[in-house]
Amino acid sequence: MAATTLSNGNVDAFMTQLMAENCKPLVEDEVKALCDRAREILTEESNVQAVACPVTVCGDIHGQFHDLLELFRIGGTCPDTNYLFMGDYVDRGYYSVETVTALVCLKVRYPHRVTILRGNHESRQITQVYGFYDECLRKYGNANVWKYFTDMFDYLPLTALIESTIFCLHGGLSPSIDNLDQIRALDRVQEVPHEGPMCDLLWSDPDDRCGWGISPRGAGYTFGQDISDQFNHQNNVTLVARAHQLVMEGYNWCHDRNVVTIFSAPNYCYRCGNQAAIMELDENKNYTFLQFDPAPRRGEDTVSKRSPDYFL
Amino acid sequence: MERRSLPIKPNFRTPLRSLGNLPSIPECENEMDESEDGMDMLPRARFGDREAISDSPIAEQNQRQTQDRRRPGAGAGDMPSGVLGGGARPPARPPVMMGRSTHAEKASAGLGIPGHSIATTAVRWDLDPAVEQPLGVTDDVAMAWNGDEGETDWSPLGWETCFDRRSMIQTECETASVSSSSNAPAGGQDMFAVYSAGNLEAECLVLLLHGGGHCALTWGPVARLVADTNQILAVAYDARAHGDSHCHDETDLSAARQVRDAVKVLAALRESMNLRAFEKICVVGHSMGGAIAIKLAASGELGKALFGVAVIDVVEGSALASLPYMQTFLRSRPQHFSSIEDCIKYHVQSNQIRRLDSARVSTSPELSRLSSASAEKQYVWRTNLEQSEPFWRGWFENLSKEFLASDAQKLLILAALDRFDKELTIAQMQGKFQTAMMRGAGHSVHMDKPEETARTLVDFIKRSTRSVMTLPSKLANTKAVPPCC
Repeated sequence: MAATTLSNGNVDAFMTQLMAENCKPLVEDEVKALCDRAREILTEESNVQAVACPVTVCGDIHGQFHDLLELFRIGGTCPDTNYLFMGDYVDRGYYSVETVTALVCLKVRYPHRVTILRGNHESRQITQVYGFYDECLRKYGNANVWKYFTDMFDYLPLTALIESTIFCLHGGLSPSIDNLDQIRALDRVQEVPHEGPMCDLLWSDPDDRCGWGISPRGAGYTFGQDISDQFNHQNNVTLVARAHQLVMEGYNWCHDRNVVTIFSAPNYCYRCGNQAAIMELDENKNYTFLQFDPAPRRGEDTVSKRSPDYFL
Repeated sequence: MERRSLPIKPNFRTPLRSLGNLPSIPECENEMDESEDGMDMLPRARFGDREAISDSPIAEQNQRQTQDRRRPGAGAGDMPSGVLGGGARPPARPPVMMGRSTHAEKASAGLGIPGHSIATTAVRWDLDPAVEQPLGVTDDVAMAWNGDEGETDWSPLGWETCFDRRSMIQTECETASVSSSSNAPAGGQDMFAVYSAGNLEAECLVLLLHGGGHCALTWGPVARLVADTNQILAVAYDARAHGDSHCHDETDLSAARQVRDAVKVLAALRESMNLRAFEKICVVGHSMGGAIAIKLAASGELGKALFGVAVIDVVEGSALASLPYMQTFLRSRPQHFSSIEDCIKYHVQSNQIRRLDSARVSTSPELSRLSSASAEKQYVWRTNLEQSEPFWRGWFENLSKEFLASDAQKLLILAALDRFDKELTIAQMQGKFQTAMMRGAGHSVHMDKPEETARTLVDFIKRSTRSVMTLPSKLANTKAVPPCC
């Protein structure tokens, strides 16, 4: 199936197949066609993709496909609800393939109603150690699907700007960047680098301490309220909405409401006991946070305990 | 055993770039080697040299110390005798070949060490994290056993393969009356075998704590690679009741006792060496040693000198969960070997150690030789791990909390994702510490993946010791032409 022939009907069929009871992944050729089409769409998008209200803003999903379906039950289905996802669709959860396939289907089917940004896990290096690569091998018997997806990830926009007032991205600010035009000028079509502005946008965290700090994560920086004050003022935005950090309530304000963290993977890794949340913005940019708990399970997520090869 | 030094001046420039803008350090030690006998190009003490390893470790190593002391090498002059006193950099340290080697190289030089390759330029490992690893390279381990038993050199390698100095350190023992090691020195002293690698004028020190049943030499390849940055002094010692250390009480392997041992060994070293590296210490531990590293950090004994804690493949939740299986695992090990080679073969063929060179360098001190036993059964495990069971819970309990509570920079290196417990999963996902996953490694990550482990450690140390926050330059303020928007 060539990319150009991928019709809305095809994509609708993909989604039906995915969302149905047995949640069956697409076949390899279908994934290739889907990723090719997604790349065509994403390549036209800006590093600071403009998004209009109303829209619902979501944080990390991490392969928790059943919780993504729960998210749509809580937030409304597409195209009735517009969505902005801020990255980290894959890794850690057991259904990264289904999760990222579903989100890319939505993007391809409703390109102007769905925005998907890049997270630090949308990277070849990270997915090789945190689960997505192994899951692709397990479900397809080879790494082709992993390659289709990760090649497509290079085209994902880094940030979004809602109605010129809410700046959205996965991680946080960068000491190399003062304004949005500097972000627009970045060459984003590449693997997430180990350092530099593009890396920072996907890795940084807000911190209680002022100024810039070395991130304990080993990549990106921490930034204080003085930094977000200045950034928001200079760029005429009221809020930085970001994901990347687990917050027990699903969302968390910081820096005197300059910054909000949104995390949309409930009971992260099937063990953390956290709530998830999404942020609904109405036509007038009023926000409402919707919290949710894990979707009921039928035991499929039970971690298979390997016999330990653990030594003293 | 005649030793002469090689004339080739190691080129530390290549690894140095990974330490960014730290001040450079004069290459004092290597000047000596050059002046001593300039034209000698003979390779010696190759990895395969049988003489490099001892059948009776203590006697042989003492002999080696005496021998080294005769040399006017740089290290010895800088230190009082007795402590790291045998301490001269052994003149003929062969490089650890950590890169991938061709089959032909392996065949010609046992482990892919061309005879002249003492120059570090010939060592094909690269600590530059920007070098993207092609997919699959992690599964293709260069030094892994090639499956051909006949062609494989299982012989042990000497400590000089990786370390520059070795010495016995005596510390006051706490319970002079209990004596379970006949090798412990008389009087109220415990004796620890200490190894170090690297420039004595290095910026900082990494203290490497090994796992249960292991020994300091398990750190050999990592210590060598880290030390070759020329800015880090790597120190490892055999823990109580392990390797060549001999203590009056070899039954007490409690966390508290081992923490006190670490403090004493460091203090003794510090007093005798008096190096600036002791002002900046990063503690690194594997498994049991990782637990000790965290508890050493939590003890506050290192004060402001402590800047980093790195632990390898130990997490409270998964460690405690695996304890019930440990005795079964220990019982499943062979209890004796006819030779050190046999034990190296066991380590590699059972996949306990996935790199032949790591196994060859680290196995010898993990064994004791019984003089009375038959030739078939003459080597037994040095450490009675079964007996240490009463202390196991104490090593791991409360570990996650203590790790997270440390003010030092924190790094967790894991072999597999399933090691995480709830507390560390939450903290990791909040960005509280750095995690590195080592794909393709088993539990002994540092032995299975020495280059990756060393690279991760060097990057971690580089970030953590950055005293002044140097920010990157701002991007140019050019007006962008976005594709759309």
